[in-house]
Amino acid sequence: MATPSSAIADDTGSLLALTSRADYAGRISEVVQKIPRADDEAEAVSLLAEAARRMGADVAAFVSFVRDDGSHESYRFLLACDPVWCHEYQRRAWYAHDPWLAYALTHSEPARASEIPVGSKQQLAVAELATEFGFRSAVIVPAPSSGGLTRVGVLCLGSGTPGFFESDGFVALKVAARGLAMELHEWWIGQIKRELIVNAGITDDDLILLRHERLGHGTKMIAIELNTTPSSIDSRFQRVNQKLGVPNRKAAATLAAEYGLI
Amino acid sequence: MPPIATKTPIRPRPVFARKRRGTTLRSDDGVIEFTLAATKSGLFVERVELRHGRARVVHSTLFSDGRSFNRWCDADAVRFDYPVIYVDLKRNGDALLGNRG
Repeated sequence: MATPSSAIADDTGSLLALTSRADYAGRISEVVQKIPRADDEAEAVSLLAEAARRMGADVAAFVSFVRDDGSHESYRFLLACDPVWCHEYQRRAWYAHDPWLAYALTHSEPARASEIPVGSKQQLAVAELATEFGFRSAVIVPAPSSGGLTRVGVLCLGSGTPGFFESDGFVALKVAARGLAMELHEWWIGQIKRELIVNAGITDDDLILLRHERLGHGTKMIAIELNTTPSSIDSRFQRVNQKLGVPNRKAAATLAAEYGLI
Repeated sequence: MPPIATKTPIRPRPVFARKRRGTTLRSDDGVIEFTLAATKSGLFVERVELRHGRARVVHSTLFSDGRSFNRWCDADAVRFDYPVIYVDLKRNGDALLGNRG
């Protein structure tokens, strides 16, 4: 394996020994603080690999999930592990059966994979595949969003050593991993938000319109608020829908909210 | 050679059509796209796939050597579904890894 993860794990010994070091949190924080300034995905992957290494993990992956509206969804993976894993995962279309993703969608607390129930045969197969690709011991760290949004991030840290994350050092790792997961999630959403604004040519006036829609305001009410006519509001919504590539104003407002525009 | 897997051309939402530095390879039907760039950490590869017209799956990773990159390419279904893209992917990736300073 030749991703940045190949350099991971030069800190030998147990998780407890590693987390007992006085500079454990500081060394991780040093890397995490660079994430908001990452120029692109390449730099983000490098930082993920380095932060994971300092935490004691051998491999790491960060997944960001967003449901744009009822008809579109996105999965974005930053991989500091063997990426062949994702080919297998995707080939079998396992998103719907992934117990780690399911956990992250409904929890905010980091958990060891051993603590996440694996019910069905397919869920078991997903977990076994992860084991095959270096996650013999794993920690799942959700990065949830507030306000009823679908977007969620999931950081997966893995070790080739069975039971590595089961020791008392887990509490210290959990704190550091949460920071990493949240920063990666925010960075990713920020990237997409910037792309949306630039590529779609969304203006401040468009955002005002979308905020009204999100609040459930009707055309007449928005027209009064913005001191214009209802037909003008309808035309403006049509243009915004076109810019965002969505079929209606509700979908436009949902997409704008999911990506943090409003 | 036309792609085997997809019958209907699918286009990503225009807002997500990104301008990237590096080399971009895209299938004619818009289902699969690769972006490759040489970085100081290795070869950066972004793989974007539109699944069934509703799910956009993006993988971003770095390779530090040709062996692992080629192993990853060979494990990709693109090898059979989009053979021309597969050949271009390997050629461009190897060249970028070879040229990396």
